[in-house]
Amino acid sequence: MERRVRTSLVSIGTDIFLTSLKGTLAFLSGSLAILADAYHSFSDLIVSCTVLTGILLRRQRERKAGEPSAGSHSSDTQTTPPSPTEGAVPGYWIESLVAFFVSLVILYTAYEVVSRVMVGPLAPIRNVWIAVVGITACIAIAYLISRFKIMVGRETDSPALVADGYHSRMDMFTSIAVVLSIMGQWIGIPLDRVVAVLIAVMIAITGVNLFISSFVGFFRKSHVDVRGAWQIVFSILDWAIGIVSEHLFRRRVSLPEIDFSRLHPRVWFSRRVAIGLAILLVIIYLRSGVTTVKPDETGVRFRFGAIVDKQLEPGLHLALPWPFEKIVKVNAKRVYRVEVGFRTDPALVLSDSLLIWETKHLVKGYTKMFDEAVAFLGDENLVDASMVVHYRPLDAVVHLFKVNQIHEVIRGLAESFMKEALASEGSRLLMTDDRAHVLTRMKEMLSTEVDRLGLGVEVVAVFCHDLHPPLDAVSAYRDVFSAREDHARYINEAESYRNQELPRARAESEKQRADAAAYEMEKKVKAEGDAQKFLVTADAYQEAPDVTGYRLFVETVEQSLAGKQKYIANPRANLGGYRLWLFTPGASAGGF
Amino acid sequence: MGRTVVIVGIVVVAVYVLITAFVAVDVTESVIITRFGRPVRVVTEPGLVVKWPDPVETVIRLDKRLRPLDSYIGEYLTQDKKNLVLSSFILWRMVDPMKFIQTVKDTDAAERRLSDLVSSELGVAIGVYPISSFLTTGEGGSGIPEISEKVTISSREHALKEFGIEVIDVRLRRLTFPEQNLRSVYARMRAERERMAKKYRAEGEEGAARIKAQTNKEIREILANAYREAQVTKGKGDAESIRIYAEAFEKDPKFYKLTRTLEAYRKFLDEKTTLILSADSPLFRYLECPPEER
Repeated sequence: MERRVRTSLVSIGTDIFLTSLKGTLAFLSGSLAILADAYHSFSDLIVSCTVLTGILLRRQRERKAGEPSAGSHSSDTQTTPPSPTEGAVPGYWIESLVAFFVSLVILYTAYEVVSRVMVGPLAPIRNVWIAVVGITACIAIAYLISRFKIMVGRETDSPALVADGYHSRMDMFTSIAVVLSIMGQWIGIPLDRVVAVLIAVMIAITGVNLFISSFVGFFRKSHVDVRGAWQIVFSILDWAIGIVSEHLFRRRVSLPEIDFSRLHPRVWFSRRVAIGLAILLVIIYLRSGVTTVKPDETGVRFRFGAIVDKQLEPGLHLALPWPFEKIVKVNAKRVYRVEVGFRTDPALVLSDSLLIWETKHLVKGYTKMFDEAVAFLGDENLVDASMVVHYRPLDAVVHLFKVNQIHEVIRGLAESFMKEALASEGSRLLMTDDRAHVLTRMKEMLSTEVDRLGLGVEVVAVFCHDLHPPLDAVSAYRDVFSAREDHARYINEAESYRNQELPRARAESEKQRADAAAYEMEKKVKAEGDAQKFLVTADAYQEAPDVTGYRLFVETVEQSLAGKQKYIANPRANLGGYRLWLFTPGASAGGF
Repeated sequence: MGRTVVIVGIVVVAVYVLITAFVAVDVTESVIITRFGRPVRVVTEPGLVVKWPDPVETVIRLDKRLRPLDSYIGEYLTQDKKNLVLSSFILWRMVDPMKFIQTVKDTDAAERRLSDLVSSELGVAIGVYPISSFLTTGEGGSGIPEISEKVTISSREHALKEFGIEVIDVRLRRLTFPEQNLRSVYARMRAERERMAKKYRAEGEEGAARIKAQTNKEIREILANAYREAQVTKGKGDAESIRIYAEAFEKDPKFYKLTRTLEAYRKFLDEKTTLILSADSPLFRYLECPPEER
């Protein structure tokens, strides 16, 4: 029991070591075969972990059951198929489920290896010597561990461990194959890919084995046992080695006997399950020929890579399964969008992104492509320009199968035409709304070029996303706008002054004119009055001129002399040197 | 047991042979079949191809679709010795698989070679043109298409002959000045804008001043005209009154003189007047001798 766990732990340790060693070698050498082998060891590691989990679970159960020996150390629950009367192993389904997922992981690993191997060019192998030495070490380790496992398995009479030992020996053979592939590469025969595929097949067998085991464990309500399927491989190998050795050495060399009767598939693999699985596999295989083309799509049918039918209407289509035919669906009617000068992340960009010259670049999900956006104007000024091109496939086939990366082709053409169109424009473009004709020109040029190249798409529209001076010059451009406003303001102020002052002046002139007219009228009327008065009084005077004259005279004298200081001097009294002196009124009183 | 193993073995070998002996050539690719590394066949038509199984004959697949490529960004001198930073956008496709595999081997290497070629051709072409042929606001538009056309033609022949690549189109994609020059361009743009701003403001002030001056002039004119009219009107009034007075007074000058003189006495002999009267004045005739004695 303890020994079994220990051995399992040793096995896990070895697998970890082998995986990392092979991974490093693959990285150093660039060999696909070594890489595949590393994946292989990794899948072994997973399987070993699963096995250990199984053992530990079992032990726990045995302890709980309180059985002193759990039958014997050797026989696992699975090697002697449980009779129907025996109760289901508790927690069997968890174990099966884990094994099922692990098997999927391993199958995916196999797929990963194949896809890695099938695409991409064959790189020459570097550090050949390191690779060869490293892999040889791996072979030695695999050999030793396999012997160790077989030995312990025999001693403890555990077929599981013995089988695991043969599995490790299998790993040794794959490593030998890897060495051969490196040798072949050296000679110039590209075996790398073939060997890698073979290893992928090995990994797949491990996966399938675990996959089947998980189902068997589930249906039998027992523990998962990772064996069975290996027996087939072992027997093939045994047979092959036997034939070869018989012919070469005239001696039959055989793998150590394994009790196949106890491990034979039939024991754990019921006919019903087998038929069910086979049907499932066939259905999965045939499904690859059934395709639905959605309303917005067009289907293209390929037979061995050649186009057979390129206008499949929406609906259900049947084709021959995988290696023969395939149907590729193309979104032929959709309008695609190419961004030039910026990129947006549709998930992040808000619908109302700010269209302000410098703040715009701060919007989330918006990336300005400064190199792409900077363009010359005809007067050697620079602008920040970006635009969006909408295009639509004309034909489902052409743009996909004649052009690699149509999106980038359109982007590159659009960018170059944008630069070209702007290179013959003046700076006025920035200050006016004169962009429409530039966009029209860009669209025309782009459409013509796309047609000429036969890209199989149609340019639907070209939109100016953004066109403004470079950030460094934005403030100066803004100031020009302000200056224009100032210009208008000054003129307006002057106009308002004019509008205020002119009416005032006109009012003043009207007043003067009116005053003058009034004056004229007044003068005239007054004169007339005076004249009338004079004429009337003159008439009265003429009636008695002497008396009236005298009266007027005296009245006037009376009025004018009354109350005034007067000196009346008698000329006769004024004799010789006598003079009349006049003094100031105050001094005169006492003087006389 | 033995029979099962044989059958399984045969199946495995058959599957292997089937998988590696039949090659589906996709519509997007050309395929070269090599026998122990020696190219023996080129297949450009899509469909099924039969070959010896791996590792006797292997397949090299080459994409024959149109591909975009950005050449290196480089700095070039124009004819008038201005530095331009340029990169071009190249559309190319592989047309001669055999030549391609021999000279450039894979797409990455092909793109590097092509980039080298186009960059150098671009440098040659740029050196012949002054910058004004790229950037112009004049008639006939920019000379960029002409230059790209030239580069396309000159690199096309070489690429086809040497690499088995068809250069479909070469266009200028990036087009700027070096970083250092850009700063001075920005400075110039700012200066230009500042000049314009100043001009606008000054023109505004000029316009405003003109309007104000014109207004002042008009105001003075209006007022002067008004004054003139007023004076004329007033003069007319004065003249009329003079005429009326004269006409009236003419009728009795003696009386006029009398009344006017008396009125004047009344006015100018005010309170401050001190009179020294002669006793001989007719006014005092009765003061010295009563009328009876006369």
